[in-house]
Amino acid sequence: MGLTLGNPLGLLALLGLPAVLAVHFLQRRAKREVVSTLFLLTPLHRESESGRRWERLRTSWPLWLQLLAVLVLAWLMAEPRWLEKNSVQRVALVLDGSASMRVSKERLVKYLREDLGELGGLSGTTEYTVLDSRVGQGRLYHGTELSGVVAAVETWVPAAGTHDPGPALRLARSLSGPDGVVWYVTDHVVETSVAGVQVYAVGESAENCGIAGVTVEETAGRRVWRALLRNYSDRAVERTWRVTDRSGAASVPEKVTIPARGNLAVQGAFPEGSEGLVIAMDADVFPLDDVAPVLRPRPRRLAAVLPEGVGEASWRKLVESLPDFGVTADAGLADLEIVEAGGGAEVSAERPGVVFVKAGEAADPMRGVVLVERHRLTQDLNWQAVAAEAVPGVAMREGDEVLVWIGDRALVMLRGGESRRQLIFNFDPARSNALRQPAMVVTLLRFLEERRGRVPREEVANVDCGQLVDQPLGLGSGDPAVEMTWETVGVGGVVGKAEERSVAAERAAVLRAPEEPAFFKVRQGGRTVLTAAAAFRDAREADFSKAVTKREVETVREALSERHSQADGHWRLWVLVLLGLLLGSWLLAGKARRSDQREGGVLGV
Amino acid sequence: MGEGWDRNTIGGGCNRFLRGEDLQVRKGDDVVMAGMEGGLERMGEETVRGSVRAGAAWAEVFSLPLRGRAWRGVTGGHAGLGTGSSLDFQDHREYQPGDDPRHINWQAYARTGQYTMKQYREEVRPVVDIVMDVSPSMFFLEEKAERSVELLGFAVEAARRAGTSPRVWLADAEGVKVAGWEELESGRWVGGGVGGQVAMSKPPVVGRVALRPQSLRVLISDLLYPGVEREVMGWLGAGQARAVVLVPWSEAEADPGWEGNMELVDAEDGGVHPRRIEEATLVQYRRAYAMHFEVWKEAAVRHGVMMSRVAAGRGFGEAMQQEALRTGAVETWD
Repeated sequence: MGLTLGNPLGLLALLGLPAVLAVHFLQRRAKREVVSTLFLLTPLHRESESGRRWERLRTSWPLWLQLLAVLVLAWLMAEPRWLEKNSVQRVALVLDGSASMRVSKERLVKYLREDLGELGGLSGTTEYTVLDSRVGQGRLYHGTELSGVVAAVETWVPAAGTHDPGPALRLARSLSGPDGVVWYVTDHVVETSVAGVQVYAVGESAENCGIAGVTVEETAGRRVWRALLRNYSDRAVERTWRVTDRSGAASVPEKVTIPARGNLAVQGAFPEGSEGLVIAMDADVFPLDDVAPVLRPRPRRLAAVLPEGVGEASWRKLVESLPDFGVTADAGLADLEIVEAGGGAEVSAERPGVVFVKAGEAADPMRGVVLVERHRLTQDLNWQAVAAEAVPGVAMREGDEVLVWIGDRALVMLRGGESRRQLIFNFDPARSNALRQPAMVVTLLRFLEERRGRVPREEVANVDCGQLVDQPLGLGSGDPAVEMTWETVGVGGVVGKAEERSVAAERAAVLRAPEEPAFFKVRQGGRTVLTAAAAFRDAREADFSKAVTKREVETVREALSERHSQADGHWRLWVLVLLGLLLGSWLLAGKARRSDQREGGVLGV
Repeated sequence: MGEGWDRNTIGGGCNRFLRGEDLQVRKGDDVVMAGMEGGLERMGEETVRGSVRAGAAWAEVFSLPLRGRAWRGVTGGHAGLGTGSSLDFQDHREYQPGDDPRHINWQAYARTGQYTMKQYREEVRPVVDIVMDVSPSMFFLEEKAERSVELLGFAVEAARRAGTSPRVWLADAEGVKVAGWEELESGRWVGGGVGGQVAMSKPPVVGRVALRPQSLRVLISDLLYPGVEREVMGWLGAGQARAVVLVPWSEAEADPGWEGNMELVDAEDGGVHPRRIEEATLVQYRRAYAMHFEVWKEAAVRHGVMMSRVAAGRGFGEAMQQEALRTGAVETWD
């Protein structure tokens, strides 16, 4: 059985050793002696001119007994425990996969070596499990070697934005069992919703400045980018930024002062003919947000066919007011159609589109309770204020998905499959206030965006690092693999070499943008689906002002020590030994004192 | 046994030894040695008297070196320098008017017809001057104090047994004075100094002692004074005198057990001197101690003074036989 100490601080009692020695040194006060031959001593030995404060130690039984007593006392106070040889403890580490952990990684490795090394000695065997808090990252390490844990952490790359570590913590909790230790390894103090999880923070407050976001707008016929530079520290800082075109041409570095915990917006136009550029600040502790690759975005533009007739002008006005949405006269090029349905008419679902009712005559207002179904198109929208007349509408079919009811009438519904999906507003907009209500407009926009995401045309966009790539990809087993190529943008805006990876079509639904700033393309079957620039824009991860270190290992150590070891059963004996030593020392010291007093007579000691 | 000494108490010894911790050294009226209440006075009259008598008892065994030399003095039992009426024939000379006719050598007159006088050696009582060093260093160790007092008792009694009239001088750095028998016996002189207080760290001013010419001079001193050996020995040997120096010493002085941090208190002036004593220091000290007495002996030889160290802490007879008897500083009656 190995030995461990329940209270290592008890070893401080060993300081009693030098204390006892010091007392024995100091209590040997200079002996006083009357002499008649001082004149013989005077010319001798310069060294003897004055006494030394520290007397040479003279051993004595009281001294040795007191030293032994200190050792026994230290032994008792350190609470020695004997390890149970076959005991097993489980330690699960959930590493916060947030990008901010990059700054603390080196410190984390150091602390883990220290703390896990200490905990590892508290049981016969320690099983380590290392998980990433990001979903889908899998297990980083499982085994009994601390070196394995360290190696896993050293190769681990945290890159995510703020996310919920709950699933990973619950998994770790179940893997480690009820008696196991679960640490959520992060860089700040957080509350975890999972019971029995201890926060192990290894952060350190640091000053950071970075690019909090970039937008691209069309202004006066020119494409202009705007970047927001943010200072997360409590003092104003001076930084330099510049822009590098993808062709390699760079702007003159510009020095700016960003106020404490403030923002500074910088902007510029895309150079003529330039499709992309990199905004870069000089690097600091967190280089991830010091660069931002930007592309001139080209969203997929939707084209709609309008119904012929007197209402065409008003529909055109509506369509052209919506972003990246236009009208086409060529039905073959149209992505969807706007349909006016007569009262009680059947509406075919041959192509995707938006259907409105066209009423001939006025009718009474619709009455009844408004009920909004749970659906992504109507989520969080208020349809209570929509007032419409109860004109004859579109008859419901089997398979229609009602989104909003008013009484027993379907007010808004979806019809058809994915490729021919129609959004049906089952009332006449002209005889209602719906077009002035946010609910209808937002529902319409959501539908159009959903359709836009299914149009198989290339899109050029600026996205966040690690963002899910939601593109019109074939996800079937028979579809070709999805290929992603990317060029990482490093410190100073330097674009790295192109890299590539291929993902099976079935798994492309969870395809994400690169986790570091990069330009990238997504292709499937030789067709480019997405050209994008990924930039880190999570301001919460870039703020290190609240980063702290919190390593409360002591309570864990005590609990594990209690669980996996037995207390020294001979403590009563040691107490008796201690008392015996103190008593013996006291008796012998008294005896020596009396002896000194007797012998010191002649020499006047 | 001389007059004034109680035979029944001779050899009674000290019934209370002087302890070092009892030592009191004063500067003026101030006691400079803490914790030594009572001082040498506490040796007590009885104690001093016991030691004086113990030393005096040894005068039955040892004597002062009075034989083998002509002395000057009143009529007595020792050969004098002049002619006298002893049985010890010395010489012949022509009769001079006024000579005692009892000393005319009538047989020579019968042969020569001229008056010839027989001359006999004069018998005198030698003059003995005893000088006792009463510096504190003589008394701060119990064995040395006892030996010092014993030596004084022995010297006085030996002089008295030789039919002399000894004069005892007490000397310290402050001055000298003649001590009477009663005072010597009382022990009041021990530790009190000549002036009634302990003197500073200076040699006794023995030069102020009015030594009588052609006397036997006995100095009892530990000679623990540096640089005055020539003066002292020259003073003792002056005036065609014979001189004996009896030096009481203690093993505690010759080979002290000092170690580590010490506060050495000068027995003479009470000055406190913190010292760190290592073994090397002790070795050098022992060497310096031996060298100190070699210098004194050399000066003694040069001035014809018989110097003998008398160890304390052992029997008086043994101590005397060890050196004093061998060097002729004392003799036996045989």
